[in-house]
Order: sequence, then C-alpha cells, then structure tokens
Amino acid sequence: MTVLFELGQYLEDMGVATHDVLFLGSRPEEPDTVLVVYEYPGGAPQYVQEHAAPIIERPQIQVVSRALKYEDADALIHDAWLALASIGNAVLGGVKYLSVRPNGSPGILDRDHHDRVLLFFNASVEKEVSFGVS
Amino acid sequence: MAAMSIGPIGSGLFSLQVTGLEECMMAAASIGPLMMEAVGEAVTAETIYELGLTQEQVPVLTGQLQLSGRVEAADEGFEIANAIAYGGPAGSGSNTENVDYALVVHEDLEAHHPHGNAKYVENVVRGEAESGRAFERMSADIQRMVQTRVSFGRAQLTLAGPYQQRHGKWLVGPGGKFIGSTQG
Repeated sequence: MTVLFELGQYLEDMGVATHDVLFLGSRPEEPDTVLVVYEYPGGAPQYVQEHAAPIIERPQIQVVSRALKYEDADALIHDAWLALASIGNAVLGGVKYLSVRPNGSPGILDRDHHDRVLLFFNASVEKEVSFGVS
Repeated sequence: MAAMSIGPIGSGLFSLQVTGLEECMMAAASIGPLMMEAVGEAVTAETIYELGLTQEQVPVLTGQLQLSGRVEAADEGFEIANAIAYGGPAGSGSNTENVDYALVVHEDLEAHHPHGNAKYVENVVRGEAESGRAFERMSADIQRMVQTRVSFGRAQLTLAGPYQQRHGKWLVGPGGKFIGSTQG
C-alpha cells in the first residue's frame, strides 16, 4: 500500500469520512460533499547503514474538503486535520508512521463553478517506506 | 595603535613593540554585525535565485501570474527572512492586472497546465533546502563576504630603540592579543 491508501483507511477507521465521501488522488464532480487526499513530492528519503534502499520516506499530502455549505466543509476538514495531526509512532496498514504534521491550519482554497466551498491543508509525513500496492 | 615594550632579555637592551592591537580587537568586535549583514545579503541573493527557479515552474496563461512574482522582506521578528511572493493587485510585482488566483493555482493539484505546474514555489523552496543546495550557496556567499570585509590588521612585531619597561614582560597571545603582564 502507499501513503494515500494507508491514510485513507485510517480516516475511515477514525470515522472522519465514509467510503462514499472519501476519495484518494482525484476529486470527482459528484457528490457535492467530498474529502480528498492527495500526495505530492516531499522531502528526501532517509538511508541507514547496510541498507541499499531508503528506510524512511517523507511524502507531502494535501487534504481538501468540498461541500455546498461552508460549515459542512469546515467540519469535515477540521476532523481530518485533527485525526491526521494526532498520528505519532503509529502503525497504519502494517506500516510505521513517525508523524503527520500539518503545515498550518485549514484554510479556504476556492469556490468552484457550482459555488461549492473548498478548504484545504498540507501536511508533512514521515513514515517507513511502503513497498508496492496490495 | 597599541605599543608596548619589553625589557631586557639576557644581557641585550632592546624594546619590542606590538602594534595594531586596537585595530585587531576592533575588527574582531565588528564580526558580529558584519556576519548578520552577510547572512542577510546571502539570504536575499538565495531568494532572488530561487525566485528565478519558480519562474520556470509557474503556470503561464496570460503571463500576469508569472509577472507578479517577486521577493519581499518577511517580518519574522529577529530572524532574517525573505519571501517569494506571487499574486496581488496590479503593480504588486510587474503584473499590470489584478492576480487574485495565485493561491488556487499553487494549491490545486488537479488543474492541468500546458506550461508549469502547481506548487511552483513550494517545490522549488523545498527542493533547494532538502537537497542542501541552498545551504551550500548561502554558506559560500557568507564566507566570501566575511573574508572580503574583515581585515584583522595583523598585529605587527617590531624591534626598535632602547627598552622602555625595565624588568617588565608582557604576554602576547595568538593574533596579537594582550594576555597580561608581570613585573619582575
């Protein structure tokens, strides 16, 4: 699994978003209310002696909530923010996570062409390297 | 200029003058402000350089977003910091139109751009920092600036004239620093 699947499963397990609301890596036009987790390039990996492959990876994630009403998008993004920011020395999907650290509090990104509000935050992840997608 | 003499050593009569100590101490005292000045200039140079890198990644449609790119002083209290800024009213940078979409373009990971990409500032700043390239450039800049601007006025030792301090000895440490004196 990768960081998206591991964190997506975690958000579902924590009751932040259900399967029909949570999307990974893409934001569909429907439904109106969605929580999306993206991954984008992060920091350099960390190597340790006698291991050819990196041990620790540091991806960046972006979490976006969208809803017709500001309050709904706001509640969703803050639940996700708190759940993810609380990860520390945890095992998610069999992978060790050292930390997920938001770069700031959630803020407004935009209103789309349906006047739906989009809120977002970025976070830095530090975790054991995931190998492949199961 | 500082001058001091040393008394007879053995049977010879001579004086030893150490000059340039005050200049040396003044130069040493000036390193602090000079260092801060050098760090400030290095940070500014690095920010300007990285702004140039962001210009290669910023999406271009009308060109106004690209034109709005600029370096701003960041108010971070006592820290020396600059910011790469995009967007804002006409004239914020070289843009002639209002650019109120810089954040959306920067953060929208789903948007397709024929030229450029999202995270056009973050990717650059993070990449240059994580790779150590920014640190290496700034370190070299700071070292060069400090070396250029600080002259220690080398303390000079000269033997001249008859001794002035009978039975006295001054201790002069590395770099001409006066350590103390004894009277014998």
